[in-house]
Amino acid sequence: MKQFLYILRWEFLNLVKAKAYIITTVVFIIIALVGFSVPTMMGGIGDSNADTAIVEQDIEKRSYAVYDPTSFLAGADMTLQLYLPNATFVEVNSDDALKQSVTDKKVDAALSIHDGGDFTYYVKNNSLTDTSKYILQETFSQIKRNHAFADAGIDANQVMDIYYSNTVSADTVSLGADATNSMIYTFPLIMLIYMVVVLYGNIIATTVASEKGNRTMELLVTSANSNALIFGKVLAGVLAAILQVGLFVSVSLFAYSINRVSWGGLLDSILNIPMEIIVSFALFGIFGFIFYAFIFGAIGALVSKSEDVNSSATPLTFLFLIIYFVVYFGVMVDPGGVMFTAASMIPLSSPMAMFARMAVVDVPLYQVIVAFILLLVSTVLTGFGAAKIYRRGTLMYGNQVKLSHALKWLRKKD
Amino acid sequence: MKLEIKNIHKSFDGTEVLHGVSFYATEGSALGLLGRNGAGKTTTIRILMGVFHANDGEVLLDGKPFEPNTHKIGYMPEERGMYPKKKVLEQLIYFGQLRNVSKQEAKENALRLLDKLGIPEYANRKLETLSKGNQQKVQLVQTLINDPEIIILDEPFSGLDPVNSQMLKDLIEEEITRGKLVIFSSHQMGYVEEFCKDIVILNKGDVVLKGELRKIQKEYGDHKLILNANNMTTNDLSNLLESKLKECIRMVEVRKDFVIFEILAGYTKKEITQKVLGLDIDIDVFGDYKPTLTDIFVMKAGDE
Repeated sequence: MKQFLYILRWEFLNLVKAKAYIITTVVFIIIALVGFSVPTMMGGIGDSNADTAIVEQDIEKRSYAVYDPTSFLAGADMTLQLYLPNATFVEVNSDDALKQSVTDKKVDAALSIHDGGDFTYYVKNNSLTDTSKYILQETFSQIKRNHAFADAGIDANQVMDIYYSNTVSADTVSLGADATNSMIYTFPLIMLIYMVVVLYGNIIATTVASEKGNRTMELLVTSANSNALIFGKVLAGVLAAILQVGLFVSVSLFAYSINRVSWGGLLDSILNIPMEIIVSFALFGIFGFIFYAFIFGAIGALVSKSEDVNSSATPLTFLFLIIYFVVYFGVMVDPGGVMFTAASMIPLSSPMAMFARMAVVDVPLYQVIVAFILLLVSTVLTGFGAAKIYRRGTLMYGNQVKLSHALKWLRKKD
Repeated sequence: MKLEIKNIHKSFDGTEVLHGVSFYATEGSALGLLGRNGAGKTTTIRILMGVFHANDGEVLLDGKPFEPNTHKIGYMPEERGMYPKKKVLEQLIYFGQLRNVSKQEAKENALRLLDKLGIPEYANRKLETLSKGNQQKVQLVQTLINDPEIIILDEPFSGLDPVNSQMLKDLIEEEITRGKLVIFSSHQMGYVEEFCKDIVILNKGDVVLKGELRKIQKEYGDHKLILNANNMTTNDLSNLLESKLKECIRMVEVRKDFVIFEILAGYTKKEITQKVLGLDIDIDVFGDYKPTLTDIFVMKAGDE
């Protein structure tokens, strides 16, 4: 136990004192502080009146060329004024003239109105964020309805009054999980686990491989118990990751809380993650990370130099990427599906899937407990397996050993 | 204290590399483990250190199974390696702590040994900034950091210049004097002859010779004489001896500087001396043959 603590301390201090660690931590903190302060710096995004103001401001600046052979817009000035108070309309007498005015940038866009108000929207470069077409579509639909009311001898204003003054409200009370709120925090948390496992897993593998590369490993395995060595190394990596991620999350929450008004409470659900999700995320996340860290540690022992770690770890990283997508689509598409349920139980995927499943559907407690026990047992077994591979891999230099070959070592005596 | 390797067999991927290796070492003396490259020295040492398990056989300390982790052992592996980017003292303390030495004691031992090896100023330097020879000295300090009872050194002198080798030698000799059990492998026979009371020669995974070095040397020199003449080559001298003294000697080896021959049973050294003096040659060297360890090594482990 003493050896384990010495190794843990040594490895942890080596990791957190490394320049790369300090720099990334500082960068993460700056990103969190600046990222959550952007809305404040820009004057806020959460106010719905502000939203409208921005849209109107955009539209105010827009001018349209209009070719209206059926006189659809005749007598519709009031509606246009109501929906598009600051837009400018310039009448032209042909489609060609219409297109030319757009090409020559005399107007921002152009409308060729067909029979019944359907229209073609011309713009020089179609932008993803251009919402003018939809506003015009809604405006023209209202004009068409007004024409229909007039034809039927009905007062359109009266209809509008009745239409807008007779609405009902509805509340949703979820007795299980609430996917609408939980999505906001579920995806970032899944991504967080993915990033931590891949990033720190590789760091742990590289640490082990570099000890083999500089021939420290033989000295270590003859000075200390190999279980203490691999457990110490892996847990040091886990602690360093928790420290860095913890700092990032804390600073993010702090930055969001002081900028909350500017965000208009948009991310409030992050501050209100249910306790059972937090506990599940922490337990499954930490033990899942340890589980993968042991595998990465064993991979590090199978290569001769740290440069070979990436190629050796690729299959595991790829597998983890597939699991990431399985969980992602499980949350998005089929939260109650068999695949997502199975993923939440299997130790390879439960670190990401179980808390995510708990966030979007109601999961029976026994399933959570069984999945956690499976993960716990797998982690311990993987730890001892990794220690054995670590010890066997110590003196294997030259060509890297395949993981499948290394797994055979687990059945053999040294 | 007696450390015994008993009938060790070891195979890698179905190929046996040690075929029943047995020998022992005792406290207060050094045992030299000799052999050509690939003879099985490092594998034997690694089995001793618990890095590998033997397929058969056992390692015993005073008759009981030997567990390296439960004893004070100092080990300098053939593959030298410590943390290149860490400071010397810092990592020496770490390795000391791993071997159950308190931080304070490890620090004191490290500084004392660094001082003894003439590199106290490097305590707070990164290992990678030191020369190869000085890194080797740090490696020896690491080996002795826990004041071990058993010291195992795999090729401790490789890569060292004569001055540093002497310094290392003095330190190891001091440890032997202090009653430590030392096993070391080396290709440098001179050092083995100076240190080792006992030797073991391995050849292709077999022990081909073992025992007390002085006795072995005496045994190999017994009834053997060397001779050189000024007025002829050693080949001519060999031919002359074989023609004139055929019935009482056997030619052992013809070297550039002298010939070695063995006195056959039934003849005495005095009789042979008289016969040699009776030959018409200008004697340059004539006397008892005292084989060096290199001679014995070549005889036992050289090409057949």
